[in-house]
Amino acid sequence: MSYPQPHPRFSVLSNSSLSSAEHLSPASSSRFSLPSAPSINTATTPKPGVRPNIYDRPLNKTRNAEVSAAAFAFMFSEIVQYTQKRVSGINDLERRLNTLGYRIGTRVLELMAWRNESAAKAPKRETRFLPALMSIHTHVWRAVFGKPADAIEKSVENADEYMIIDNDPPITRNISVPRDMSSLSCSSFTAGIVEAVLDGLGFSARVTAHNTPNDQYPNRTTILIKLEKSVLEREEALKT
Amino acid sequence: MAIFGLWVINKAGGLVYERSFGDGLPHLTSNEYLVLAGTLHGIHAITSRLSPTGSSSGAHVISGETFKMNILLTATGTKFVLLTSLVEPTADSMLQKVYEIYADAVMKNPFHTPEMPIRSEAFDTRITTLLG
Amino acid sequence: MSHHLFLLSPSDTPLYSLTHYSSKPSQSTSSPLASNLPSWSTSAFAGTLTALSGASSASQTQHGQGGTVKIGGGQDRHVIQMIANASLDAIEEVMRKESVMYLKSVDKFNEWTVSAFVTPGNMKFVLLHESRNDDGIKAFFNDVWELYVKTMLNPFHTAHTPIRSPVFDARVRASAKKHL
Repeated sequence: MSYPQPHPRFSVLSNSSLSSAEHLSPASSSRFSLPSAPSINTATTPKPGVRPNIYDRPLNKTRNAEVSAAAFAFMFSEIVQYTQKRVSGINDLERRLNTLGYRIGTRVLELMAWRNESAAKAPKRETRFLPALMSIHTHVWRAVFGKPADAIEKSVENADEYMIIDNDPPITRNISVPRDMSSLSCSSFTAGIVEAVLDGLGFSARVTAHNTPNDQYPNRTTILIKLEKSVLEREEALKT
Repeated sequence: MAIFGLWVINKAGGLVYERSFGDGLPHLTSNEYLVLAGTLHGIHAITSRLSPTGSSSGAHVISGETFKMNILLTATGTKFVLLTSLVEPTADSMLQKVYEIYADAVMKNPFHTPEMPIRSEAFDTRITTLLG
Repeated sequence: MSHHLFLLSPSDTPLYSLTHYSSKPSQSTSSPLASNLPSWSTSAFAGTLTALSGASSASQTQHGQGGTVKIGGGQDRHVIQMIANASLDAIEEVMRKESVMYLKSVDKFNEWTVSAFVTPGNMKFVLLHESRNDDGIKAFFNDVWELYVKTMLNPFHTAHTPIRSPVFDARVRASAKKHL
């Protein structure tokens, strides 16, 4: 955070204090990515100014690349603010975030499956619901958030409801929802991703996000999956 | 060896956050706090121009007989003020940590408007954990 | 000898299609597969289709760059599309049960064999071919899959809309040339 030219307002920052400004920089915080983390925009061609075509870039290149958590947090914050300006209520806001997540989910599904399966002799898809749910819990979460989710639960009351639980969702870690909007969960974005993945695999469902804090995890979030009837019927038929 | 209070002053001199810890500080009205913050902002601006050798970042510590004010000015003009006892060796590192929490819990929160009073539960909680 | 590739969205809308004329020596006339096929189409519906294909290809100019094009062999574009669409039922039947993505020879119609590839996102790649070439087709499908995933990653591409990228087209053609 050493600014090449101090803003005119901050002419108070002398050269001598700039050295102290260096340790003011929050770069020492573990939340900020290290500069050594590979950037996802690294061009394959060394020529400056020439961006490689998307078809020229190997899909595995960014497999282990990291994205700055801070950069994402700021962007997600802007996404929420942008969306909030254009909606009339909490439900509308959640629906829009869900739609944004859905667009990501369709891509995540294809990319994740390609990375996992393309080297296999006979690439496979998930055709049964429970393995698909497990794969969302571990693979999708790992691909998107870098860690698996914390639990999967099946609703006791409704046979068509399943829940994926994250004790501390990385995307909402820095978000404090004001009291008058307390029912809002910005994890609707994640719900959209899950919905897209399930839809893609042929398990149509309505996916929503809910805050379910407990004493240990104030940010605990439940992603609720309500499957469509046809999916349950098909599962039943495939059982035999 | 005690921390009495924390103020956050925005770049225009407005008090956007105020917390007292323990019973060390006498209670002041919110209006008095606002006046204090504004005055400190002005004093700080003047001290930055007093330096005999070129420009300066202004006052770092203002101490009285029983307490001192530790001031951290960020590159964007926000000031963090920590009121502590005279001997408080951790004051500087505490200010750094407050700054870090501010960057995380306030600036990354979509429901915060820059330069406006801080009403983030996460910020409150984390400050309490750190200083309270 | 020609190949016809269709990319179909989950709602069965065609997003991309390609007709490839193989430069490899044609053996379709002597292929045991092809000679077996007519006996398969015994249903009344198939009979109508054969009639349709025969009728429409009579007025059709022959094309092809090396492979032999048979008269009345269903080379008409509409018939090809119809065969591809008709095979969707068979594909959906199989993909419910089978978890493999590559579904080889899921359907047959006259001299055409239909192979398909279903991505996890339920995109269907349908290929009509005349001769057996499992390894080549599999490699070709794998290439198309990779190219499709890359298309999906393009932020300016909306999922399940027609693919118009000239680079995509060129890459698919190159792969077809290599493997088919």
